[in-house]
Amino acid sequence: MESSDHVLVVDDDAEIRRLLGDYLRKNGYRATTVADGSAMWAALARGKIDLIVLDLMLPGQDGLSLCRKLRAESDTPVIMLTARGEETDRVVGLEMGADDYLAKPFSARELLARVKTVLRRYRALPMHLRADDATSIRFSGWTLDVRSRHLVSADGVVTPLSGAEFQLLRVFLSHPGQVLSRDQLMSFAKGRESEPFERTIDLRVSRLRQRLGDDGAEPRIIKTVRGQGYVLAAPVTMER
Amino acid sequence: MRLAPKSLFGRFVLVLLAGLALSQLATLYINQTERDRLLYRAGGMRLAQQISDIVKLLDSLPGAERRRVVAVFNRPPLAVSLDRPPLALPADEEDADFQLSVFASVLRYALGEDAKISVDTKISVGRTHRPHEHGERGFGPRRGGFGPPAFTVQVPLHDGSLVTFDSSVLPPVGTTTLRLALTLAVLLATVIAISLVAVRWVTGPLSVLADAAEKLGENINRPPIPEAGPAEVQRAARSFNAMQQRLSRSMAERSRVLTAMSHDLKTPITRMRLRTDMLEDEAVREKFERDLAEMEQMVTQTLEFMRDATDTEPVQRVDVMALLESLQGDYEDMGKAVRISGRVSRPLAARPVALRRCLTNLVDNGIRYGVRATIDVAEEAGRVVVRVLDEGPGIPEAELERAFEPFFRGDASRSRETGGFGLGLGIARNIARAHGGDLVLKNRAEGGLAAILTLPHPA
Repeated sequence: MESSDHVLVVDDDAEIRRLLGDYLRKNGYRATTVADGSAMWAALARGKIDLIVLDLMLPGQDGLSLCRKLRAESDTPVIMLTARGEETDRVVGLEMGADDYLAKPFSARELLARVKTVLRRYRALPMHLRADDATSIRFSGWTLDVRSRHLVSADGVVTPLSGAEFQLLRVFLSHPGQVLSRDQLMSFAKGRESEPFERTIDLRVSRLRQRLGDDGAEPRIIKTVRGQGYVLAAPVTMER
Repeated sequence: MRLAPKSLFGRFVLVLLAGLALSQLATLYINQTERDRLLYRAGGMRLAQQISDIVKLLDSLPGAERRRVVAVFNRPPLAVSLDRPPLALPADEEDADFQLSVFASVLRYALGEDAKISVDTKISVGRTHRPHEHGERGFGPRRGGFGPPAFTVQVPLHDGSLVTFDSSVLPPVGTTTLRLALTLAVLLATVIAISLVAVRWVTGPLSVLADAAEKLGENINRPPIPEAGPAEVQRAARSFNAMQQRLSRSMAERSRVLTAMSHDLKTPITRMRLRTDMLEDEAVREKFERDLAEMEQMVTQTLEFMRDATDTEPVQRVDVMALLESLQGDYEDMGKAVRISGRVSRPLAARPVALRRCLTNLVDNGIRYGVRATIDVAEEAGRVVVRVLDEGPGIPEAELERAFEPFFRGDASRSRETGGFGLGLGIARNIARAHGGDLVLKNRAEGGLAAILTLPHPA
């Protein structure tokens, strides 16, 4: 299965293209490398692609607009390569429908780990870390500031979130009213540079409830569905 | 000019007051020289004239006639009598009532003017007794039926006999001088008030300029100051704005170069990292990776540093404990333990993303050099103090301040292991100071380093 996964690398730097291609192939993937957007479309037309590694800065059409256009047609997972590494760019990349991002300079092993994670996640829960271009998301009195990665309470107090809490909350906010299994949630939670990850998803949810001031014994925002998982039981409003 | 006041305001007031005082002195001098005439006109002139006329008339009459004439003139408010014993002269004329002494000089002036009648100008002017000051001065007993006389005047005639006038009204003298003083006071007060307003008006734009220059240090891109006020100040403001623009442009240019350079370095570093991943020799690969990690740190921190300079994150109320706990969570996910002690209950006014970066840099250092990091937080009078404590070797006292310098490397052996402090502490201190707080390093008595971040937290 994994060995047959086909990764398309879109980067204008020939050397990076070659190195990534070699490394992916060495690790059992099929890899196609192209230099720009038009070549990307051509490659997509030629055959099945399981994942796209897309450079943010490309000559002609840049990675963001390519990603947006791609999302209109398919849900092939995308890992965005950004050179700026600034939080806002990362988030913008995600808003454009990328599944994950990797800031340059990155190592081949980091990319490989992301490719594996994103593919596994994609198969567990086909969704993208996207909130319909929203910069803030409102739910039950809270506002999630997507760019700054923190919550703002009804009376304007900022409650910062850890990376994991933010991640988990975004998954819930992208699926209001939908029961999410522990496995599905886990596939997202494992996204980052988290090798010695020991906490269970239950602990993460309880931490998140605590942040949201949601009573663990009788939660009103994130409810437990016995034997199935968790569900966000609050209406969600996206704002640009 | 050593004694001149320092402020422009003070100098203006000094000049205005000096000018006013001079002009007033000149006026006073003129008044003094014209005093007699002025007093003659102003102070009881009519009464003096009347007395002088009667004296002249009596002077020209024989003794028997005088009595008849006196009977005619003896009418209120002026009682005229002959044969009164001489009054004692006031011991000291200066001592006499101001109003009366003015009247005396007016009278002297009126009598002295006429040269045809030989009059002994020595006149006695004095107040008659009032019931409660009986015998105070040696003036004659009260006479005549017009009520208590306000003052008595005795004038010797040329034959040596005395004519005495008892007036029941005081001469209208003195108020003029009083009014003069009052006028002067009002004038002075007005001048001070007006010069206060005027000088503030003139120098106000200068303080605006000074404030702007001071605040330029905090924000080079602050809005230009208004080019208002007097022409000179306007020119200064214009030059100041132009200077700010040039400064800001040149800084932006440098930032662009540095940012572009750091940014462009990322691609070659990525290539090298990818190539390194292909290396078979583990030992060589590790060395490459360490160097590359250091280069990467420089590049990312430089970019972070440049970004802070142009950051415009709004100030919001931040739940400090949630911030610290979210940091703790992030480190936990990376397998690193961070302890939190203390508590802040009220939200802190801060820029949440910048503050998070500041604390991250401090905790990163703590973990890198000091094995474990503890964040101790306390609410003190008007401020929040966050201490990031580690259990490392600390920094030699002499180098505590230098650790904030960009890419400072202290102990060579240690920095080879760890890559030095980079820009992390400098960035953290910039953020602290942009919040109106500060960041200092201290070696702890029990070993290890303490990074002490203080942030204003008004009640």
